[in-house]
Amino acid sequence: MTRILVVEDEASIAENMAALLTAKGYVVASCGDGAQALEMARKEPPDLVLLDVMLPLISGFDVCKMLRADPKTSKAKILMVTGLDRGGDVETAFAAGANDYLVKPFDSDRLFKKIQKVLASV
Amino acid sequence: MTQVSPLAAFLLGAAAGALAAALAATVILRERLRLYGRLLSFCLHELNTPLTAVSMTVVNLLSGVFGEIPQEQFKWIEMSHDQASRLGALLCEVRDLVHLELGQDLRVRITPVPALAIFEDALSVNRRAYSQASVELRGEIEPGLPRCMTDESRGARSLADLLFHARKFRVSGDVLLRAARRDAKVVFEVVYVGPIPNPGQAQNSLDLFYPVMNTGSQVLSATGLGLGFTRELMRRLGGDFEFDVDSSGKARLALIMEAEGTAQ
Repeated sequence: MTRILVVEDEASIAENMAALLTAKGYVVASCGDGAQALEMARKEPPDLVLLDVMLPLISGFDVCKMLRADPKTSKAKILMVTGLDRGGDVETAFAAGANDYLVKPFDSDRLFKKIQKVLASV
Repeated sequence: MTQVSPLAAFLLGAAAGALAAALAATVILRERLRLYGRLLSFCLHELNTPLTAVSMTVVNLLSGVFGEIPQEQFKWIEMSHDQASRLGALLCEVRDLVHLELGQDLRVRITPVPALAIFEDALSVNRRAYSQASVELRGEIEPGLPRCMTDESRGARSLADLLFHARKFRVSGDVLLRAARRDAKVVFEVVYVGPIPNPGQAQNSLDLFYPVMNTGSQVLSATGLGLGFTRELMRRLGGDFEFDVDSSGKARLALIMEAEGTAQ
């Protein structure tokens, strides 16, 4: 079973993501800040991390770098979710080690298509 | 040595002072515009999150993630979805305009994108609204088209916007979306019959602020931020945009994208 870790501090989005992905047959865990995300990922390494950029405690960019640097979590696919409000966010996401990114606003269809694309990538 | 009269010296000094003041004012104005850009960008970011939550909820409802919904409620949730999508597209356009005009820091990511994906995405975004308006939306795509060099989300969004525009301003008949190769480019054309324009109106509507300046004219008004914005954005993406209308009102909106392997 493919495991997905949702890291999103906005409960309404996190719960929608979790409901969608559970209905699609994925095993989903979620948390609302960067520190918790690192702890959960190390305990049970996910196949994919859906990672928001603007997170409490540690930013999504830093979480991404830390996941890549840890041998336990370095293989996880990372899909960053960004508001793209500043020029350069996307470049920063890729430089931090993200596999792909999704710009808000989006809906469940766009999110699911992007997840399938990232999971299918080598 | 050449003597400079007191009057000439005064005039030269005054001109130098005026030039320095104008340069300082330009720098201050430029900085102020950048600040406004950052403020607007922050406001738009704050709109992104609630809109994403609403959009996800309605799509989850429609796709049965939260269980069956009564048939009689379906239509209303679909309409909410369409309006949320429209709002999302507009928000993205305003965000790009802020970065283009105020911050002058719009960054795009050009990658190879399958022409079929752009084509199908634009159709799928518009199908329901066309069906509700009882307007036939036809699609024709040339087989074996190369991938397009464009910004994935902006390219698809621009084409979807043109279909929205055609539905809004069509006066009769169906709307055709066709994609075909033209030399080293892929051209996505939206063809429909719209209002018969006055001479020069079609080209005027490609000015960036045309909809703002022509609020009294409904004939060639625009959806979203207008066709001028679409052209500006497409050029930033390395492509182009064309709009022409003949004397019978037959209109053609065309997005032109470089084909992979042929970009200059």
